[in-house]
Amino acid sequence: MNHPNEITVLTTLNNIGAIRPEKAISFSNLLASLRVREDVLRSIVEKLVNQNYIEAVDKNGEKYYYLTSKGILIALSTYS
Amino acid sequence: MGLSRALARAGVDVHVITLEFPGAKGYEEVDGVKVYRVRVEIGNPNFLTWVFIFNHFMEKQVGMLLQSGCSFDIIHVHDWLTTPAGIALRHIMDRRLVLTMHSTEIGRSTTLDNPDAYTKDSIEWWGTYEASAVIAVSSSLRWEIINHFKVPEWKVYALPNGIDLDRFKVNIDRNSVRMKWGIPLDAPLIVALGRLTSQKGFQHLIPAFAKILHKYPNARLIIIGDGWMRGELESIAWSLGVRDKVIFTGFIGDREVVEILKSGDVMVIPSVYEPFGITALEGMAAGIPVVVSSVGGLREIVEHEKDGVWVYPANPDSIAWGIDRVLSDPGFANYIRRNAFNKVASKYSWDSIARETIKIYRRVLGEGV
Repeated sequence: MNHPNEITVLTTLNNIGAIRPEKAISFSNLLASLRVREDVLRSIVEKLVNQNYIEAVDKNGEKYYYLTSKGILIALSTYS
Repeated sequence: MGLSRALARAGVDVHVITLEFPGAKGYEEVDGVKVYRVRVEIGNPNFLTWVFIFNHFMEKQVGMLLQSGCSFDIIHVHDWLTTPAGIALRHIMDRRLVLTMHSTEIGRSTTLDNPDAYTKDSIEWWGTYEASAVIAVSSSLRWEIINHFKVPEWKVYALPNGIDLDRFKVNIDRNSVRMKWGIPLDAPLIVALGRLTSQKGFQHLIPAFAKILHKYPNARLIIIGDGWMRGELESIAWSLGVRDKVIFTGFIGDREVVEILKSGDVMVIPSVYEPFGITALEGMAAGIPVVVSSVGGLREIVEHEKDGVWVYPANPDSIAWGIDRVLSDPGFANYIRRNAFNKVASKYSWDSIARETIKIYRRVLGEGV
């Protein structure tokens, strides 16, 4: 969790309700929500997947992302 | 859930409305407490909007319960996050609202210099205005609420959080725990626990640990928990040349937390703002000597040199002194450990907190006590 934008990605996924596979959000929609450079978001998302904070599911050939339990706990840790 | 369980044991019919969590049931009864996990069907990237959305779904859940014939005497909400639902339900049901505050935005952020902080502060004020009783988790927080929100003193009660001592009644093999986390069996082990946020002060603990290594070169620091500050804390440890002696566990299960606490030599709670300090109670219940910042609720829970050690907040020299005070004198460490355990057992059980909570419920219902 070195870059503040990682937290932004986690909290955004939490706030939009992407906390289970059927509510996962596509990369393009996440990009539209966050308004950051595509390459920056792609590297953050890859890192968060590797750290098991988010998971990806394939839908019609596109990757959709949602928070894992561990990711939800991190997101909520910023709120109290 | 500790308070809810104890209220249920005392005969209160408790219904808890909370958010869904992966793997948890939408409804279940836990030790007599009816727990409803609300599925929030829509979301919004904006945090405050998301809060209002989930409050709406919580209200909807209560609406369904009312339609099914449930009735309630008291609505009890915790912090600003669920205050909007509490206020709406208080008016819809014409019932009394009790608000427990665990902290304030002005305390957490120290300034209200952005629109989100100002909005949270305003919702906190609104909650204190609408509630028939406000419960603060420490005396210092009670005064913070009275002074900042201009709430009448009679309306605000100081009532601490409690702790479930049974959680800590486990036998552990200290050596196995240490081997599991790669800690030498003879190393002085310093334990810290909490969300990795600036409020918790771990950025001051790591420099203190670097100082401690001069006297105890084999010492280890284990930080239990996770949060947005983890990367920064790891960087501090690298920059001080102590990263190989600091263990970050991330989020771990409750059993593992207890195992580590029981295997440690001293627990440090270096918070810079702490309205209560539940982690101090956890350490005291686990039987590990505690060193705490002399702030807020920590000052109320721990008595200096009797059941713990106070240090100055945000001061690595002072924190290092406190750690050494415990590590260098095993007799003193045992003395404060025993006193701390006795205090927690007598003063901070959930059953006694529940009894006080019921008295507050009765007062707001006009029943007298």
